[in-house]
Amino acid sequence: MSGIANGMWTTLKHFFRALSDPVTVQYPEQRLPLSIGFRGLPRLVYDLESGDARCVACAICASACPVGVIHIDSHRGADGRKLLDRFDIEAGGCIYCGMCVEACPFDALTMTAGFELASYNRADLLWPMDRLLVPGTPENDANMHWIMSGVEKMGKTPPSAWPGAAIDAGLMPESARKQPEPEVEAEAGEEEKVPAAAGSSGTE
Amino acid sequence: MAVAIPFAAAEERTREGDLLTINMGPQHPSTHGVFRMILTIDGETVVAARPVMGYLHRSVEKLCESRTYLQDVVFTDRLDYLAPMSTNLPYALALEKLAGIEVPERAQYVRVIMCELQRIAAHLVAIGTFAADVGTFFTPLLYTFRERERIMDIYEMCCGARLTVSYIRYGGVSRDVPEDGVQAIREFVQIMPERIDEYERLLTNNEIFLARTRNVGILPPELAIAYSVTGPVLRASGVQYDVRRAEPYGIYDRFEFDIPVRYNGDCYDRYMVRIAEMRQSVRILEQAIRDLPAGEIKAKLPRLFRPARGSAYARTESPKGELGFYVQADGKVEPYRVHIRPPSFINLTALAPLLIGHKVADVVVILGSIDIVMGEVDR
Repeated sequence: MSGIANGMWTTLKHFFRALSDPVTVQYPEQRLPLSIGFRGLPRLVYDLESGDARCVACAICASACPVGVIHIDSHRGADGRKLLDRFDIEAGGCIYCGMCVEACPFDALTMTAGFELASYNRADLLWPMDRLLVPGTPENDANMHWIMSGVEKMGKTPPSAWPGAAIDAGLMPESARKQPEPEVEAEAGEEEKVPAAAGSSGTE
Repeated sequence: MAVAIPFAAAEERTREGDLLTINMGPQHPSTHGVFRMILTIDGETVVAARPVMGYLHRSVEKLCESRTYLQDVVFTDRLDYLAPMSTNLPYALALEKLAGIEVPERAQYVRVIMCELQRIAAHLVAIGTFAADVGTFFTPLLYTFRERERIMDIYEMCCGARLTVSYIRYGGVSRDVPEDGVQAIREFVQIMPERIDEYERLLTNNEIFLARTRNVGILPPELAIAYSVTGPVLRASGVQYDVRRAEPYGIYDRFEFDIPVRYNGDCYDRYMVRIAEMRQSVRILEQAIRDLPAGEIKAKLPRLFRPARGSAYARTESPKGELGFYVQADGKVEPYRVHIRPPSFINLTALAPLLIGHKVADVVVILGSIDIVMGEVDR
């Protein structure tokens, strides 16, 4: 019976250890911190100052989505630029893989820490544009460059509307203001690449 | 090699009318998913067994044909959902073989680290649920899940997800391992040997556990080879075969590790092989984290990944056994054909001969010792 007694002794030790140092947490009341770069529901990024969404309705994210839950409608504005009419994510079908964020050439999407998306009403699981718009820029979020470290961006110039406002708000380096060739823009992105552990806080 | 497969001739052993056919599953807590067994029993003894699979079929292989190579990575997470990293790897290896991609050094090490962590995590679940099947109720399962939770936290730090990781991609890995992630792995490697001792204190010499698992479900080596069984189930039958050693992939030839092997082929040996493999994985992790170089984590790839016409097969040693991916490309952005060789499925085919002659209560123990994941069996 020594084997059983040995096992019982182990559980008994843990019983007393758990009184002072429990392994579990009482989830809804107590929460463990989420990691930086946690993949929750994607969100649309817009600039704090101008209020413009960065999204240019190119629909690359919609085609990158393996489950096809991103729906985008757009029309051409007076200046020929595409304007968003509709940007919906079916949260009920989203698999939080982050392919849309990796595909976005303008860093207009990020993953949030939102994972408690249950709803009493199925219609509420369709997240329209106004619910997805969250202020801030990817540069504002801790470690965004580390999160995107495995992603090769296409090196396209962001739309001329947003960088000015973001630079004025102190969210982007001054070097991003000039809008020349894509290569220069890509290098500017390289310079501000932060080391992995340097980020301050979580994504939200 | 001619092998006599011991299907019991039921009518020879019992009078007609004494046999009872019962249905175990598909909704049964001990079948590890939606798995059904049609058992013919004589009193408490199983005289014939027929496994029925396919309740979780999602046609993953077909779905892969309509999506791009990158999008298919998310399906590999959902095959063996207890070992998504290990399932990511052979798909990436097959594509790298197909397109001739050279993976950077750091990515190679990160892959080894992630896959060995995954082997530990998967074996923890296997041992915990196996112990629960034997009748320990949930005590060892919760102990093993405590360490699995640490591995899941490491995954969350590295790739943002705990289960559906999509981390190992063709060309490398999706994100770099952060510094606190490396630290967490170091800590894990330090505490883990002691924790394995603790599981062993709970189970290895426990008389009830021994009585339930020793000489139960003996799989002779000839039968194991005849059924193409791989992984811990094969090694518990005395065949020292591991793809990491037989056909090293990635950088596995650089590490020192042993291939644990036991010779009785019963449920207890399958448990002991898994315990020993976790210790070897810790050994590999120690070496990999010590040598982890700095550098790129992803090879330079064209924006549109479109390998030329051809096909490639890559196989790896997943926690369950030999996992292979066959990918056929026809020059488009999506694969022409993806075929998966899942170890759980092949190991499960050896279940029926194992069950014959055992009591109904042992059916659950034998099934638990094979360690199946229905997501992989049915795809």
